[in-house]
Amino acid sequence: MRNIYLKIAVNAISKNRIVYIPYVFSVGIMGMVLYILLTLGFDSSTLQLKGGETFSLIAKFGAVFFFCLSMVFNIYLSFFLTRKRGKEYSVLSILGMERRHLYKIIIIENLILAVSGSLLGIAGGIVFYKLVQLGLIKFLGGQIDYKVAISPEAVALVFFSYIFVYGIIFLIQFILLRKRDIVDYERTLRRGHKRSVLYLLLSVIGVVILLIAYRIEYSIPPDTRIFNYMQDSTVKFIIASLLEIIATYLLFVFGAITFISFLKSRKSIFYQKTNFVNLSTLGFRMKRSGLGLGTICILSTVAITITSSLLVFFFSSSENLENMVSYSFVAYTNEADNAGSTLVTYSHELDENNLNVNKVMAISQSFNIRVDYDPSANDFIESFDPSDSGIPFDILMIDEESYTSVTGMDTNLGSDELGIVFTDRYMMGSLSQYIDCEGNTFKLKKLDRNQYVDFAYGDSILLVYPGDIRELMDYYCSSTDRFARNILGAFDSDEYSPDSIKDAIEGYKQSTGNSRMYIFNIEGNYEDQYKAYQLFTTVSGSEFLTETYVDVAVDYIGVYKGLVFLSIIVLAIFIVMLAVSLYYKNLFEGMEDVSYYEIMRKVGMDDRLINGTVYIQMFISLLLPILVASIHALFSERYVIGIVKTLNINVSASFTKLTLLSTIVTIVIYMTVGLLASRTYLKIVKGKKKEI
Amino acid sequence: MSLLEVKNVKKIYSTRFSGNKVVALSDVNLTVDQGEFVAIMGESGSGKTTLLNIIAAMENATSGEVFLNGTNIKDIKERKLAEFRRREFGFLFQEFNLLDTFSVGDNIRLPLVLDGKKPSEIDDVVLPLASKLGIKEILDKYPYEVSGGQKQRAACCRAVVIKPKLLLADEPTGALDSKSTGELLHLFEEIHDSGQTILMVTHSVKAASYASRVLFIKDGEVYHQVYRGDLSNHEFYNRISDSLQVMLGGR
Repeated sequence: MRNIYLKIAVNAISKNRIVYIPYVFSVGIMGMVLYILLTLGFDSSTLQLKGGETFSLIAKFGAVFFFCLSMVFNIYLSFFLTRKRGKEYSVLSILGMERRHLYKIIIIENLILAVSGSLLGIAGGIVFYKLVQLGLIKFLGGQIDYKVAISPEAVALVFFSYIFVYGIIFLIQFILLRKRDIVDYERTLRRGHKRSVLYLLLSVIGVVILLIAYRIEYSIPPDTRIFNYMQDSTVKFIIASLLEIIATYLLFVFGAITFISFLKSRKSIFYQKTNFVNLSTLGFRMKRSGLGLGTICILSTVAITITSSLLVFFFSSSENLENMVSYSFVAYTNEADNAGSTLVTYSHELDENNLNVNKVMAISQSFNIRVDYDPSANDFIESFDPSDSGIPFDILMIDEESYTSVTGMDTNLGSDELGIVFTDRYMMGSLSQYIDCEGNTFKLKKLDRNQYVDFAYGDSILLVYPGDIRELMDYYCSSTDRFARNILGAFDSDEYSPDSIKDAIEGYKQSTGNSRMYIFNIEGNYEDQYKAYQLFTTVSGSEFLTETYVDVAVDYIGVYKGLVFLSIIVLAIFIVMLAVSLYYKNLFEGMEDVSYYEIMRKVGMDDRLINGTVYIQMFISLLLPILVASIHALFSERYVIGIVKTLNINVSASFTKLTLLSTIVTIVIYMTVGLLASRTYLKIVKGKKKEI
Repeated sequence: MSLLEVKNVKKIYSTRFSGNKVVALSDVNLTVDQGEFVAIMGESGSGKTTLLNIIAAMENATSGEVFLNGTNIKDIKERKLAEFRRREFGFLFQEFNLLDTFSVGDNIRLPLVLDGKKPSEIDDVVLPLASKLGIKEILDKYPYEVSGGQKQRAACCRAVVIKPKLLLADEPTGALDSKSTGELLHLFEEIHDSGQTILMVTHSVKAASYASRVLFIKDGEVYHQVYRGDLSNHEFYNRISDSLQVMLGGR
């Protein structure tokens, strides 16, 4: 007896291979991606990549996320398949099979699908894993290993995940078949809608809930410095998202029908050829497909929001990296007279390695002083002791001519003006308008920063002097703390001026008379810059003191590039899966609508009108969820931007533009699939034309 | 004058792979005059529905010609065929063929909307007709909400709403109970009396007895025909039965 069930199940799958082959293929792709993500997470060679530990963790999280998504898709696709098979179950039921017999057949079918899907997925995963790994190595940098390795953990997890998903699918099928009269199954599906006051009421409720959800999202403050920002805004965002989900379903299920009914009540609109057919068909179908379209809308919202957020993160990070390390490296020397030969050698080395220096900024007579802020004294003190606590300031000096030549910025300082460039965030008090240097009064002129000035010490103060820099140093040495106090707006200058510090400054001035600080900017990416830095250290030996943050940037880039790489793969598959589910929707509906269009033709509908209605309905059913999803995504801007800001990233990319871009890309993908699906649909519904 | 003329129509089906040929119609000749009610009878597989489809230009004949009002159907261009069918023919089927996605009223309005009638004129045509056919109350209902008899009356209303030259009915009483069958046939009588030409394919002797002429098809040819003349429905019924027995017995 058991063999009979197996035979029926195998025959059923074989008979319906037109839908099961692409289905198993789609499910296999999901399994493949899951396997690849899990293997990336478990593979020890991943750990050897730059930022490998973080990446491994991300891959594991990605696998969990993708598993949840693929489960939703699989259940969605299975729902269509169950619907398509409804007629067969009815026939088997009429032939005398009880529900428990049908359940046995369904269990066997699900087992066959689970095993074939997982085997295909694992096989595909093993084949394509190496390719993805090589891509990652190319991205992140690391040792290439061509050995094919199979991860037993990933194999087991993929297999059990399939068993789990098909267990859930069986439960849904069980409920579907139990709830409906099996014999009358097909007929129950073709029931349409009735216009009712309840629908109108539910539609209005949907609109109100949606507006509330948008209002809540819009009330999320854009400023991340607010205390408890993450907690408060996340709670708000979750509440708003839940409300959006409820509103979306209400509007797609009831709102759409109410709107269509409204249009149908306007005779001048409804009694037009195309409108008549489209509104009737859409109105009828919305009750059945409203839930599906609502689900597609919500999933599209997730896809578009995540894509836009990642793009914001990506572009802002790129910008932040530029700002984070605005120069390639700094080199100091106290033997400036001898530096020429080293620089010439270095220049040759760069040529040999195809590296180019973008700009070298030389600061003559650089002069570093720590200016610490003592909160208890609420005052600034100066010290040469690097072990001092507090916020360090470096005061650097440069003559106007050098400044203009290296920055390309016109300063136009008057002879009684002193240019000042400094970071705003550590500015204490207000900037004095004038500074008194031992009887010489200079007017302070704040200069704009650019990437060549915003160098290593983000908290530095750079003074740009219109004359010989040594004059400024003289002023500085004679005034010491008062000089700094005047600049920073701390006016109580007489309280602290120890002679010992004056002496130390004088000594320092003597010893650094021949000093230079070179700031190098190398063209190209951070890898090139780091290479150039290593070349310089090799060439210069102990002659220069060097410092760079490029290596930190290289590591950081590795991690975030990996994250973006992984996310793009997952999102691409996610969007394709959505598109596949839409394809199935059209395919199955086409199969159900064959007789519908036969009748249409018999009552005088021509092929052009049939084609037109099919394409219009396809466009509406595809575009509507995506456009609503796009609006949902736009309202999540404040939260997303807030989250990115809390990661200490200045958001420079436009979320709105990127959301619209994601929407357009999604629409293009959906429309392509939609057109293919519509062609298949038309092929199916017109297939019996000759037999009319 | 003949409204419909079928000349030497032949239809042969051949299977795609084996090339086996099945002759559905071997040589059919018939004419239907304006205002006539003609029934076509025959066994299953005798080619009745095929003939109806060829007349309605939904299938091409292997050879032979069909003229409607003097126009050879073959001469009508493919893109004009839908319009031709919509304006010249009304269709009535055994399974009603009402569209589930349309209300009963919209099913009836469909041919008028497709024909581009003004919205303000549509209900002026539909409502009186629906009232005459006794289905005005169910216009807002959906097909799955009404009985088989009501569905067939709605289908009948849809078939005649455009005032076709020829009403083609394929086993219209096949899925109806006896009460609904009687009601529909009375309706046919009324429509016919109003001047509508009807060509009906049927198995039912009772249905055929409402016609003014009955053609019998056998082996793909018109085997025999009987005229009502002055006979009553009952007498004509008996005559058809006799002819049918002769046709079946001669096998």
